[in-house]
Amino acid sequence: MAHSYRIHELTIRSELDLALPETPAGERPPDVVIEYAAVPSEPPPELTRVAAFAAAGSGDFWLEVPPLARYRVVEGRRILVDPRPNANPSGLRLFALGSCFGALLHQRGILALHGCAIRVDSGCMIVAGHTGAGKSTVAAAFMQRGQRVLADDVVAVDAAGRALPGVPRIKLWKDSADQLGIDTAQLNRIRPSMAKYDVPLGERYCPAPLAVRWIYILTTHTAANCRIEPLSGRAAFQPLFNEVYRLRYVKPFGMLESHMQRCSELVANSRVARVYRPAANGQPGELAGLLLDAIAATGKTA
Amino acid sequence: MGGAYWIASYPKSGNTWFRIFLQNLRDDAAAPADINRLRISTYPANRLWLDATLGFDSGDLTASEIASLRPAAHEWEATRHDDVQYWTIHDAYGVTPDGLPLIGGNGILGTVYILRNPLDVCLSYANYTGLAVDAIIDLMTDPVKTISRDGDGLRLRVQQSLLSWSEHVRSWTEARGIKRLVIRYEDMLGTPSETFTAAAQFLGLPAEAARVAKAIRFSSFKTLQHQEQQGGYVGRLRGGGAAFFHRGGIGTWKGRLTDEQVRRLLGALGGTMARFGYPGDN
Repeated sequence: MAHSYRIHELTIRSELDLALPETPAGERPPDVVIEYAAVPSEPPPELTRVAAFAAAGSGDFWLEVPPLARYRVVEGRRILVDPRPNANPSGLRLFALGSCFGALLHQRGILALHGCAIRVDSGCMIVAGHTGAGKSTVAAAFMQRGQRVLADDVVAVDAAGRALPGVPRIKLWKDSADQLGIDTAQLNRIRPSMAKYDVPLGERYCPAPLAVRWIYILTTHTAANCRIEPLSGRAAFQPLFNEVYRLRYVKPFGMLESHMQRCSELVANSRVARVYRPAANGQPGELAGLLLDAIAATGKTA
Repeated sequence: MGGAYWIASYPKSGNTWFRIFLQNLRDDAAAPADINRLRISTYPANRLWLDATLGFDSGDLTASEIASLRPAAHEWEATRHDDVQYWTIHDAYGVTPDGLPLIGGNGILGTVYILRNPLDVCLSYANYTGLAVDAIIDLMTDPVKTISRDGDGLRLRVQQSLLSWSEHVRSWTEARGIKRLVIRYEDMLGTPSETFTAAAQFLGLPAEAARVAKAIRFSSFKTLQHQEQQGGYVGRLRGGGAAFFHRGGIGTWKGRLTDEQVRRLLGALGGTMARFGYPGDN
């Protein structure tokens, strides 16, 4: 049975249950189809290896997650999933929604950033950063403070400089949930054997695209306090460009120049800053408050 | 031509110092290399390195799944560059459940294994982590010790199998089929010229006497300590203990470990220590 979803402003019909709130199937053909199909054990020779288990070329992407499945993403329209025998669907969907959707967005010319997007008044803030920087934790902290969240992990930004509503959940490790006082007993684990949980955004999901007005690039440091350092021009561009989701995929897709252009436009049209948080004993609620105060202090229009 | 050498050691055994020497040797510059910009080496247990190399997020995989993927990541990265790589590893030598050597096969050129008197390691490890010496002794004598376990949260380094100090030493020094040079921290300090020259030759790096001597001088403990005092050191453990370049000598444990602590370490590790010339009272 096929499932229907709307993610990143794309309608999706999927044979794989993504365990997300479904939308009514529309009459028009979906923008994206996710289906089970055979994927070759080696990438087609015309693709360029961009990682040990990933290869990309014009409109084509091949990925192997050895314990779980092989995937192929074609022309920004189809995600093929070839599971290993007995692979649990929970694992299959993680990489379909992560690396595969990131590749699909790149193929469609949509800039994908590694971060979360939070609604602030009529615009939105992106908190970008590398794995472990604390993006999901701070997204959950914003949610607790009553802010609406557009996306976590992968933020899609369209040609008009708007962040698009993404997957309506946050993936949170148990220690982060504990730190925020979120009871994990009621939550589903992302995979049965991992202490990492799906936190549905529910009412706190923002289902509408919003103009990106503020971008914070999250970094850890050894000091005890948070610190915000405004960036502009070239000093803002490179740190932002470094947060393009799976940057290695982009060049073989032929999207390098357009993504650079898109990042330049974001730098020109939003306030960009680097935010340092303590690596040890980080207080995500405090950080969320600090960012909102910083936005209030600089005026709410960029 | 490419390829990668591993610089392997139990933690706190001189790995960083050795890599600073390599940076200075390769640079052959007029001033010491900046300890916070050691471009010469990387740490493949770092999650960011691993995720970029795999092509997907390891944060959604279990520790055993990640362990199975590391050899392929090492091989791919070792074979894709034109220049030679130097990689740090603190894992014990081992093979995956599929029988693949953790360090990789294709593109792996060899391993320098550095070992140090575990009594000094113990004290240094306690200073580095801020943990009690007795807790470090527990760790060093645990035959199945792993570090950076994800557990309830993400670690920026993936899980590494350390084993006990003795098993670590044995795993590397007795591993079959690997090209290796074993050096002792004490010889890096005591007979630096011979020890570092042999290492440079093993690694295929320039080994002229004057160049090696300068690289040794630019990597002196005093220089490293001075740099850390001036600008900090990125490798210092967050929330940890003392300065990274803290004492660095031989026999620093004397008068600092209790008799009981020494007895525990010698009881558990003495056999391997004796094989490498560490009687425990030198």
